[in-house]
Amino acid sequence: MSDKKMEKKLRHYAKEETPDVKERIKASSVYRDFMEKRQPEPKKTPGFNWNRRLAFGGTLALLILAFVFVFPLFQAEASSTVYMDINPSLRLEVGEDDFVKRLDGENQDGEDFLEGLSNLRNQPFDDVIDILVEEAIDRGYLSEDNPYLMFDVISDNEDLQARHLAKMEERLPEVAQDRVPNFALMRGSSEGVGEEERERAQQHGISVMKSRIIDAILEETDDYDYETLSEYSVGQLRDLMDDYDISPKRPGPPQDTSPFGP
Amino acid sequence: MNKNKLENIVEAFKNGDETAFDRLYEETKTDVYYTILLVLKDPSLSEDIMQDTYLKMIENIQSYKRKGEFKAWLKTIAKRLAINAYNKRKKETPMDAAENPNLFESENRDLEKRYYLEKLLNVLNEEEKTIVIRHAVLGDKHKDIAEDLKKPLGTVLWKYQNALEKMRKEGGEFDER
Repeated sequence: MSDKKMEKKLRHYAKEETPDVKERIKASSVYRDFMEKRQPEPKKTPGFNWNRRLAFGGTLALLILAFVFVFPLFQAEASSTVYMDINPSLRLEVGEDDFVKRLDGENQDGEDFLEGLSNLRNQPFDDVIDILVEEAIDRGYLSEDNPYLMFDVISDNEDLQARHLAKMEERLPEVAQDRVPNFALMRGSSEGVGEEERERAQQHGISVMKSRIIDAILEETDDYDYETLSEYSVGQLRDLMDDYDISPKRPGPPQDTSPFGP
Repeated sequence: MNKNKLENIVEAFKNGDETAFDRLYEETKTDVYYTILLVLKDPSLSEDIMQDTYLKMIENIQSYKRKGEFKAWLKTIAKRLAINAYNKRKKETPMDAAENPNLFESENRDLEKRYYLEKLLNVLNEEEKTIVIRHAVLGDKHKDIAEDLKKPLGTVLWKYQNALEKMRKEGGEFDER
């Protein structure tokens, strides 16, 4: 193991093994007093008669209802959904501030994969990518024999989607290539997934991205069936795509965005 | 995280944003803890001083002026509190390093949890531990470490390489993780 890798591993362990005293700090009077003082003081309201109070209360109730049901439609915080498939299939919700808001396993392998990791919510997106890739290599999901990582980013906000896509394309090879020199990044497609499509993928324990590749292959040949192909790795499916000359064009099968891919 | 981003989070925390504290904490906890551990060499006591460091930071945050050195400022608080605790403990129970070969271990540690770094570091002597933690974990330059330890830079570099080699030999099992 090179010095750089060793240092990276030490930093990773150091972070993981740092004791967590956050809740103790938050429970302290120092923290609570500080937060209390920083909150704006409530304004004193002039005296109302009962009629005016009722009218005011009614208006306020209407405003609250409007605020709760209508305002969020326009004000929902922008985020993107990042899908990663290395057999464990993962889904990350990443906010505009580039912090991971949510992280879930899309299949059983994905859930098992995340179980062994410390909480990655509210961590910077870059750090989470690093940890996930390092862990995938440590556990043998990514290796020279299995060098493919498939991903996609979906968001209603085009700028955010482009930014997070660029981050994945830049960061993933940077982290993985040290240990997997033939690492290859594949762009999958998760856009416009229907309930039925998602359910079928889930039943077979694979991601929608992988399911779409399988469908594209099955359109070209009867030599395989969905069951069989769902057991294939992303790399094996990629080979089949080459065999049947399937064009990696979105939406549908993945695009190969890596200069390091075959 | 770059310094500017961290400073923005500090500003948000100063204005009472609770989530900003979570981010500040996540971003600095490792530096704070290992700065203290290097002085005290006792994980349980270091944990207490780590908490005190953040409380002290909160009490003084309004006097912190944005100059891109928040982490350094926080580490200074951590080091000062750790030295105070070390001196206090020394007065109460005189400690001799030679009598405590496993200074990074504590009886109060959660035995169920696997401490990989601790196990790796335990193949090193105290000086090697300091050099490795300061460079690999805290990101200090070899030149600064050499100055603090009053040793030639070449010696520190050699000791660092030596320490990594020892850990590499010890760490075979950790690579499988």
